[in-house]
Amino acid sequence: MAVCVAVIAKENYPLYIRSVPTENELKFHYMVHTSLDVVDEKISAMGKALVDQRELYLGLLYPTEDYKVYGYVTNSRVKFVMVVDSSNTALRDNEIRSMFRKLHSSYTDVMCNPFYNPGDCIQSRAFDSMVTSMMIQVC
Amino acid sequence: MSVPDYMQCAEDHQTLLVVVQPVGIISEENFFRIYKRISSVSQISVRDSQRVLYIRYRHHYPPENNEWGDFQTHRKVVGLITITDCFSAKDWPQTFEKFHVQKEIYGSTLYDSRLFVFGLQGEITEQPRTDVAFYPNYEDCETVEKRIEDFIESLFIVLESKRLDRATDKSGDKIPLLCVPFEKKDFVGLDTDSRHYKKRCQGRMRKHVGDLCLQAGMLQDSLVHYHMSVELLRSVNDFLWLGAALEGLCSASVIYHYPAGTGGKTGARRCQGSSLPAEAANRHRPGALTTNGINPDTSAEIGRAKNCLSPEDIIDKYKEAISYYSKYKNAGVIELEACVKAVRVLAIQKRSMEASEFLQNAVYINLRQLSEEEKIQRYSILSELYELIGFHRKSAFFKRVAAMQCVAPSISEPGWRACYKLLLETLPGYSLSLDPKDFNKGTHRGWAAVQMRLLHELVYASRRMGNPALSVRHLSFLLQTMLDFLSDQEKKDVTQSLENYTSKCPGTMELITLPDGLVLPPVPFTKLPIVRRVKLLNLPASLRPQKIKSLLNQNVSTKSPFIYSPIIAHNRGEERNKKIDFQWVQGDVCEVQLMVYNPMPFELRVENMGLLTSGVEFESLPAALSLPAESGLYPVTLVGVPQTTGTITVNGYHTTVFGVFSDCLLDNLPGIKTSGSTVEVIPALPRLQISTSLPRSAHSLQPSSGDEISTNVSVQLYNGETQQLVIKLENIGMEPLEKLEVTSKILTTKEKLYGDFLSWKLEETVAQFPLQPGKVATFIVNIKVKLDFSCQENLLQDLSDDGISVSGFPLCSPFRQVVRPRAESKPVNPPEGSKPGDPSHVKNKASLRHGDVSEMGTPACVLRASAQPPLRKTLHTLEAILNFKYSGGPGHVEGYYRNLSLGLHVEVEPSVFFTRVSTLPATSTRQCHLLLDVFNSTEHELTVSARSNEELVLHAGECQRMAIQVDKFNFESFPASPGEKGQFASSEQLEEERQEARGLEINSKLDVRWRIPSLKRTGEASVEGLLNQLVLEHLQLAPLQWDVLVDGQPCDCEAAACRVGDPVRLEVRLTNRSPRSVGPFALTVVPFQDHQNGVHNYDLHNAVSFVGSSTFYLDAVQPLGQSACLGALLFLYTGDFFLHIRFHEDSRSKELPPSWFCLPSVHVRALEAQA
Repeated sequence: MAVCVAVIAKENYPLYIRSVPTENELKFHYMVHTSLDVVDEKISAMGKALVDQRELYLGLLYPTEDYKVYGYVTNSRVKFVMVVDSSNTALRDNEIRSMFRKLHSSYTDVMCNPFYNPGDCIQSRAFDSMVTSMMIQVC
Repeated sequence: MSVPDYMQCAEDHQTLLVVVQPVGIISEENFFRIYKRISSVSQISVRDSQRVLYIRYRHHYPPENNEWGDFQTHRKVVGLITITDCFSAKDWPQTFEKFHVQKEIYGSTLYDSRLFVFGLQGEITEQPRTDVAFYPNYEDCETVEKRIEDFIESLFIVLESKRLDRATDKSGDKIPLLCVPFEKKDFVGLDTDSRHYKKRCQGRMRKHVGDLCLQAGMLQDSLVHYHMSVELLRSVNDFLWLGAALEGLCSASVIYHYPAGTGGKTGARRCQGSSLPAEAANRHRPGALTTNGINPDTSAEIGRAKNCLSPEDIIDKYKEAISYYSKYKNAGVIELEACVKAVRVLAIQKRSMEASEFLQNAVYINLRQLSEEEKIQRYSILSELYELIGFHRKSAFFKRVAAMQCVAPSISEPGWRACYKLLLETLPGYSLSLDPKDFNKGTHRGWAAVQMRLLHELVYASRRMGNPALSVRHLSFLLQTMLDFLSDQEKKDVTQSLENYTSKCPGTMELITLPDGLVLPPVPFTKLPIVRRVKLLNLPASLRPQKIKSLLNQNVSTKSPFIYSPIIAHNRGEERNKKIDFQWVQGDVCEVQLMVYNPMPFELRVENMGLLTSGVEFESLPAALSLPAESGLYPVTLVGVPQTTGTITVNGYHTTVFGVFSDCLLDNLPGIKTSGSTVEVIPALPRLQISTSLPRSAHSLQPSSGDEISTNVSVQLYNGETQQLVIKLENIGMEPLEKLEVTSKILTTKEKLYGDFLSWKLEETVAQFPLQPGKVATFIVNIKVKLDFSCQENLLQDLSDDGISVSGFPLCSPFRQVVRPRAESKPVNPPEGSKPGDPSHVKNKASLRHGDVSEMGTPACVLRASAQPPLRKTLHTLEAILNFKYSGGPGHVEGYYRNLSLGLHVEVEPSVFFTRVSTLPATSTRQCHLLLDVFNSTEHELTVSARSNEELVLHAGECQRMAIQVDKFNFESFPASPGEKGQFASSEQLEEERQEARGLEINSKLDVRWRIPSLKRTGEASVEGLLNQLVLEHLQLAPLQWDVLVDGQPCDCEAAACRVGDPVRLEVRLTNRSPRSVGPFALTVVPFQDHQNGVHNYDLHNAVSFVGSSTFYLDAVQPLGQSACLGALLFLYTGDFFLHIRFHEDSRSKELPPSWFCLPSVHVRALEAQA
């Protein structure tokens, strides 16, 4: 489904980034990096809303010719960015939402690991396999 | 219409386009000087009205864009100003012709034109022409601005007339159809009479009038016209023009809402336009006060409020307009420009999200095949716009794309310089600073992959620019900051290329300043290698300076009257943190140890690694090292020589890695452990090197002593031997050696040592001082080993059990008591001998069987080496340290000295043992025989001599008895120093001390020496330590000294001669040396004759008669007193007589020891009376 999944720290540096066509990783890096502008903008617009009413899902950040970039932000301002192939029309907003939710809960598990230092790159195997499962369905 | 103007903004709709162009040959500099002056007149208030005219100047404008002038009038070139050089009247007609040609280009749209001629003088200039102005030169042209103003006014008149003409032309039956260039062919053969067509004509005309009104400064009117136009055009589905009308509406509204302009930040052009912002603001604000008071046209206010779009509507209308434009492929430029304008408006409204949508749209607008330059321009402007709406990352992305476009392979002359410049501008967008200090704070957090790519591109661009220093700097930066993210292969590649670059241009520590002012700070390679710990090393123990302790304790230099104050303690603690509590010495090599490791997957060669210091002139001696791939912590010692004195601070180190010089400061290193980096350097001191006559020792002394020993020497000696140790002292330093003190310290040993172990005479050596550098002095130390010569217990046991008992008392028993504790600590004792005191019969037999020979009853007893095996293990070692404290030079003045220690290791082999000691009374009471059983424990033949007269030869393992006649000693007369007495509190110790002194005295008298002829070695043997109380008592003169005088001659051992018949005077004299008074005593003299066969004849009444009584009485004698009693004897026959002087039983004091009453036996030889 997803071709690229990224977890971005509060300070806007990547904690985790993985993409399926590994040969063109840099392209996705650029894509996710530039999408942060939109995320920032959306968050700052959202800032006024009450915390509990806040929608974590940011929706489509921006479409490109081949891909769509979706965003999600946790209450601690950790961002999830997912790039999906725009040719995949079967993917609806709801599916994206549920994928983000899965990602979020898996991220929470990573955070619960007492040996994980907040701010370090995520190297959890469980998280990795979960991301893989989200990516594999494409093929 | 193919060339988009990316700089356009909404308020450009109200401007008049004037093209300023050069004609003929005119230098660019001069042209732009005039152009600048012209374009400063961008805003003109029209006479007699409140309207303001805005002018947009262009020096270049594509004529095909001019063709769209009907569509949007601000695209129409309405004025032309031509600037030309003309120096002679002859050229004038030609020049003027050129002006006309130029006019032709924009001819269809021009309202008016001007020609500025520079340089021409003479009568031609006199002709009054409105469209030509003459100036003598480029400096002398003050009236240019005035001319322009006039020109603009003339433009205004044309504009106003056109506007009025079109606006009032409602009744006219035929409204021409305005159209854009690509439409023209579409309308061929269209029914011009249809209602639809008429409406279209009307709508377009309305829009056109709206444009004109806007340009003429009639904002309110333009809004009305636009609204009408929109309605008309909407009904006929004329989308292109509908879009234009909507955009016009938006522009007018924007001008109304944002009088300060929307493109102010980006377009330099706008700066001039906004020179009167306050005035402009007032002018457009409804109901605002103007210079003329309240705006009288209140109806206009009402209309404006109604017609003007709200800020939200502006965007909606822009969207709509753009969607209409997008229906036409040929209107791509219009659409693109509309997008740009909308973005600028949104940027002001701070609606970034929507702006980004517009921009996203603009990205996808496909114009015809763009030239590379246009592409660059397009990407740059996109980047600028993204920046404007705060999308820095996106902006950086496009800027990078633009940069890449500059050097696209299709370009014949790649613009690396431009590329590099653009790349630098992307840095903030990727949150990358080129200052390595920003990366020192912990692990790097950022978009490493993206940043690395950018750095690679910077490196490449700077290299292609032909600036290797820059590329080295960037590459070093890449290596230093992105090291954690580089793969092994990448690390190899990067270092490879870095080495290639540095071979041409080595990396330095200097700041690189780029032409545009950007400063690239130096990049020290703090990670190649990574330094984990820095430790300043103390000098080696032998070179360590020590302070001579002065009587005034300098540590207590605090001004506080309190002994302890927490505040002072705190201060001291702080000081200690920084300063290390040892000193370095000027001129001596000092060391700093670094723990480093190599993070690279290959061998790292670090060259020229040295220390960076401050405070003291320091000569750093750089080192080169090669660290294996991914090494663990690796100690590296950097050395240097301080050249002056003071406080030195080690700030960091410098390296050369891959040809890049780095100065790494410790303060900037993360995660470094350091135990202070400041140390004091004291003045120079001499250096002493020691070489000795003895071989160096392999084993070092126990380190527990605290002293560090630089040299160890060892020697093997037989017990009692003396050897000379010649020490050569060489001054290998640079300072003269002025002072030397030698002390020795004998390491605690269980052995009891007799005599001085080490002795020396320093005076001879010191006489050679001061010792200049390079000079050698000799120093001689005598080593004398004198251990206990008493034998081991197990040997003793074998000997004692033979039952040799000489003088009736068990000699060995007190001896054993001395020896036992020592023997027990040694495991050599066989289990059977655990109770050495037991005179068990079985044991006795066993030892007898064991010992081959035991000749009992003979004074010289030979025992074969029955006890030799255990003896071999009794090798003793003695260890001592010789300390040389020396000083000299300026360090000596400062009160420092150095300490050099020489470890001395002496192995003592047993030479002879005295297995037993006993005494035999000699003939004289003042003398006695000391019997020593001497055992040769060496493997060589040995001779023993005492008092240098008798020489006894002993074979290996042989034991012989030797008798030495000694005078008895008067121990009481030994002076005991009063100081010593006070020190020894217990009498036991005092007694021990006294006994030792006695031993020494006896030993010096005995002077027992041994010699091994085969080895040519000699030594002493000491009986100290084997003399027990009993033996000592025998050797001691009794405190009561009895002297017998025969005929006034003291008679001791020799026979006194007398004549038969003569009375012989006998005097017994007592000297009391004991501390108390003794007596009175009664003595009886009993004469007897010894028949030499064991028979004593006491019956001598016939031969000897007493003159007077045979009993003598002595009164009590006071201490130190003397008393005598006299008597006389008469010998009647010749012969040898002995006199036995006996004490009466009752008079003898019981409490006094019997040995005190030892009277010499008197031997009197009675001779024939002389005839």
